[in-house]
Amino acid sequence: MLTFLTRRLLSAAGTVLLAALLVFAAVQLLPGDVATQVLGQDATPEAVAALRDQLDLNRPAALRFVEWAAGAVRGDFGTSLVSGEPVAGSLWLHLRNTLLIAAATVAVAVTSSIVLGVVAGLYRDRWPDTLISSLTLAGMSVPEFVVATLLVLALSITVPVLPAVVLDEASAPVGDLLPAVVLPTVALSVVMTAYIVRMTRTSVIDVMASEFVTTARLKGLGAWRVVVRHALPSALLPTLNVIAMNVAWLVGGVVVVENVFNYPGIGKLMLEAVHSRDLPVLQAVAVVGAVVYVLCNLAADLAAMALNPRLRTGERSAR
Amino acid sequence: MSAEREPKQEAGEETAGGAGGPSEGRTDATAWQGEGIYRREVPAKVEDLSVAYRAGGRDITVARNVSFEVAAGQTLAVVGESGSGKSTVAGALLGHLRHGSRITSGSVEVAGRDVFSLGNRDLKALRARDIAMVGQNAGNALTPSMRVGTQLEEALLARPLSRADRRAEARALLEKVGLPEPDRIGRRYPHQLSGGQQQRVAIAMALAARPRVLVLDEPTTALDVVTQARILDLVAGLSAELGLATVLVSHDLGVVARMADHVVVMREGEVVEAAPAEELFASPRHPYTGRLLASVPRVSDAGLAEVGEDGTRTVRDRAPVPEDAPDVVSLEDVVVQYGRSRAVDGVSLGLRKGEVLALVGESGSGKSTLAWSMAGLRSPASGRMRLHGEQEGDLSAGARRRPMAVRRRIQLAFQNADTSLNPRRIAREAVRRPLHFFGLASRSDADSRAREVIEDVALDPALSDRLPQQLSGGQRQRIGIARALAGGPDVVVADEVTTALDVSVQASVLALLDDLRTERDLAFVFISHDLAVVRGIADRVAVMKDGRVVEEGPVEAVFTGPNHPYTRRLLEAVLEPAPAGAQGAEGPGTARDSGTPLPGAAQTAGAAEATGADGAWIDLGGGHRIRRGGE
Amino acid sequence: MSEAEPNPVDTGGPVKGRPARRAGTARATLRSMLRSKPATAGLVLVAVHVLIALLAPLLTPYSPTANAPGSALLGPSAGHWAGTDALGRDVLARVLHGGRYALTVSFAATACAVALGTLVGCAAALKGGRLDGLVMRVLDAVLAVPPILALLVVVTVLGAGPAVIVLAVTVVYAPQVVRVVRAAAMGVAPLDYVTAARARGERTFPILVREVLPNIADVVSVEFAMRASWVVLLISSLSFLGFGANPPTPDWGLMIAENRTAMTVVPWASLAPIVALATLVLGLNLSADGLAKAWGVDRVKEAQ
Repeated sequence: MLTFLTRRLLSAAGTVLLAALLVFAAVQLLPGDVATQVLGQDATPEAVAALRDQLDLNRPAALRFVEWAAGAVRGDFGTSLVSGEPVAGSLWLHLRNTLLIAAATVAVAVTSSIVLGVVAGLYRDRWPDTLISSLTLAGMSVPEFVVATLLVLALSITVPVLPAVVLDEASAPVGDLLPAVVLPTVALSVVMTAYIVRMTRTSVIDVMASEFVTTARLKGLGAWRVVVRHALPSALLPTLNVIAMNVAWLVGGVVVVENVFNYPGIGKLMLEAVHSRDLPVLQAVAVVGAVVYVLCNLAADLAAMALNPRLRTGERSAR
Repeated sequence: MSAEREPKQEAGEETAGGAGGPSEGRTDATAWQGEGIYRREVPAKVEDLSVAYRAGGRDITVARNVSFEVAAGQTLAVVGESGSGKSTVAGALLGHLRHGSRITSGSVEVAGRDVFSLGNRDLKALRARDIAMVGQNAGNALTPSMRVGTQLEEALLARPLSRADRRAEARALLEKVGLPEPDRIGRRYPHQLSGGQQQRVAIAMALAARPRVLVLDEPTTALDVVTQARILDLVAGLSAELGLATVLVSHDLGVVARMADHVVVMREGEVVEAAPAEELFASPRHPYTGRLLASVPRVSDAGLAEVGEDGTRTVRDRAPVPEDAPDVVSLEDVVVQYGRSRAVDGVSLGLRKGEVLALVGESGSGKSTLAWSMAGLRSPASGRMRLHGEQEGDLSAGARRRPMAVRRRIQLAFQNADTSLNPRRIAREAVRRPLHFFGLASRSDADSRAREVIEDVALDPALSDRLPQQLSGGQRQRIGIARALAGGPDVVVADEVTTALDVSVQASVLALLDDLRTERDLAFVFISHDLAVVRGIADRVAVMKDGRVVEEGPVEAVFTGPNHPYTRRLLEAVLEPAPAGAQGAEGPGTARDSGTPLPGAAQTAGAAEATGADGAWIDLGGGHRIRRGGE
Repeated sequence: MSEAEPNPVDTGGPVKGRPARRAGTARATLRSMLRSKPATAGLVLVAVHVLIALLAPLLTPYSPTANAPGSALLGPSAGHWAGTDALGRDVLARVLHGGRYALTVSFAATACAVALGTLVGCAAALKGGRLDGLVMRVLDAVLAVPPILALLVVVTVLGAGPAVIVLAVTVVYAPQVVRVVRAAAMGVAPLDYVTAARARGERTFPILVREVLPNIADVVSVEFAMRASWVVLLISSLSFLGFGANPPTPDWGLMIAENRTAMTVVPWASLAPIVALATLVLGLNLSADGLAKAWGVDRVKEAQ
């Protein structure tokens, strides 16, 4: 089991490194001169040369990547081209703010979707299922910025109870940001829940039809016991993967939703970087996104191990 | 609850007293004291039961007017081929129907209660106390995320026991089903047990509730023969001891003969015959039963059995392989690796023209790996593998690296008719493609050539316009064989080709293979775990265990002994379709009783010294040799 | 052993009552889809959107891009059914034209992603070994970067033309298609009919085309329908953020972004594109579900 963990950690680190390389390559090696792109076509040759110097563009790309990666491991993502300050400082602040939304969303979405999915699966083709499945389909068919826009219309404009736009700086204390977290969380939860509910429902239906659940039923056990003790651990296994996949989507969704609410999170940081072509910031955000994704997958794997003794005890099955 | 049941158990033993079959344990003195408290209530009774499901707007009947009853201490077997509705009946006994199915007539009574009139609560109670089921595959029936002991304790919840008592009882149950170290086994998860152990746990779980009725749905189909024999012994012993009314559902007449007091034969949802086991096996009344019984291959047959419409059985003479038949394939010290483990470990064999060589062994013995390696799907790590004849060829190269002329001369036929044909292409395409691919027919006449080949396997070529799912299992298997024949091979590797087929279909496919061999001088490598089938079709047998050949020889010699202890175990585990009580002239004992008496391991070794065999092998002459040790 | 369908005894004669069903797979699928009301609704929704996009200029007298400062921010009226936006453009005209960009770019991007994904997925599954290992490693890395972030990086570097977006979406979504197709192909690869082809010594490509592809066509089609709905969402998000369609191109995502601030004044300027976008995605989702059901593909599990 320890060897499994070590292998899993190593592979996660490898994935992050490879993702970082891809991002680096996309940013720095795509056609066209980076300095010219950043400064625009009509920049003076001197300015371009100065920027090339600043970006170390005259040195081999491989060397630059190694240095950049080595810095990133120590938490140094270089200097912002716009503010001239280290990227890391504002990155951590924005990341903190985004994690507020993300953690709240994951908590809300995962609990509600598992409950709804299990209910829909158990009441397959009856009214609770029909209701939940229809809502799910609606949730899947509406992009998160639409949900966010409609929420603003309902809860900030029609009934003004929550702020439509956040005016706080990224460095505002967490307490000040809390009211602003509510609407983005709801918007993201709606969409995320929709996807997870579908998976949970299918998986519950599958497991409820499996032979071991039938056996448990034929043993004369109570319905609650059959569902909770026998069916759920197996039913949640595939759901875990979907949750992890959805977190990747969440990091993207955060960008859009933060833009709607002007929330000072990592999404806003990224959009600003895109607009101002602040490449070091862009790179850093993309890599942080990859790290979050990989960590979530790791967590999902660990949870799977908790649910599935076969993973815990290794594959040395007697069969 | 349990106090109330005691007398009934005794009553059960009383009724069982007169029945034939395995009656060890039933002749207990207490059984005869039951006289006074004899109860008339029948533990399980099915009356005029019909079950149907709706598909495409009409009712499809799965079971029609089925009636039977089982007395305590008795075992009733429900026998039938696939589609006979036997599993539906088994489920109905527990009040369980497949999704979408319903009862259209009749009733099921268990312990005096009409199962399908019970409310949810009562049904639950019935399942918890009076009836239990053991399914085909315990690996699927045990919850993977729960420890075995916990699942067992759960089955005891219906009884008023303290936690500690439940634990002790669970332990006792594991011990009862013959599992060693019950404490350790109880802490394991299902995947950490072997198939046989899982089935034992499933049986323990079924017994936990001290049921009156035990339903066994193909309880040993997924197991190896040796394990099967042990599990059947266990079940027979337990149901005798506990006076259970047992309903055994099976397609295997050998298993039924070993276990049943009464037999109900089903076909397409209807009962065609119901009779005491001895009577049924001795003189079946319904022609279908007769044909079914006659179709089962037996280890005592000296050749393939042919079955007439009326169920008469004639044994075909085996066409002898001429003494001077040349070798077509020779293997020398072949090793095939799977990762770090050796699936095939130093096998040397020869196959002559027109000969059927059977590779026999349990799952994991390496027989299929060896066959696939010959077919070019997995190159051996070392050793020589050659094809002889007009075109010499090295078979240790993978299929793609063999010259076309070598490639087409060794072909493969598969076990599972469901997956052996591409479901999106018409059946003829499977035969047309190799004809065209090997350059044996041009694009224009490949189609008519394909029809000819299909006719050769005794199939109406008109059928070959269909998609595989529109053909029956036997028809698909014939197409699979036609595909192997299309290349005009010298050697066909047949990997368990008849295993998944019903017995009657199996008989006809075996006859086809035998015809092909004699007509075309084809050599077959015939892989099977079923010794009775092997006895009928093979000329020579190689018994494999753990990647090695432990015994090899002409089929007569191997089946009459003396044998390697492993071969003997396999032979002893074979169940013949004759009731256990009537094992005189023919039956499971045949192999052992007739022919040369089996020497013990020590004697075998002695015989070897007498013949002066070389190191690892004991040569018994006539090509029959036995590996020393390896047990 | 299937008890449900009685297995005819091997008589060599025809199997009773089952007419040969050849070709006509497409028609059978369509018929099976039309039997389900939600699937029918989905197909109708998508068809209506495609028709509107094709016929948009004929359906409205207004130009979707011409500014008319005189009639800005009007509510719904007989002249402007859905009112006008801040620049006086007819909202309905812009909504009707708005599907053109979304549909073309989404369709092209989905087609590219599914085609590339299918190719790579099949190759990885059939070849196995080191190629498979390498492909899966790279895919994991690509998947690790959230789609929108990846898209934004590419758009920043290459600019926001439709071609760039098609390329970027292909790169972002192909790995997910590869995963699904690879899993499906791996399910087919060990089956005996593929083994038979390998034992004949056939090359990988003919095996792929003759034996594997026909048997995963269902998975690929469902994947296409499902991806399409995601791609529409992604591209509209991108437009919403200002990196998709360039103003004044009529596009739903862009329209929502433009008119969001004036929501209290002219709600229909935002609501109309929302409805259009939602119905298109809903239609795609329903169709994908219907297709999956008709073919017995587990859409939800495929999505993993």
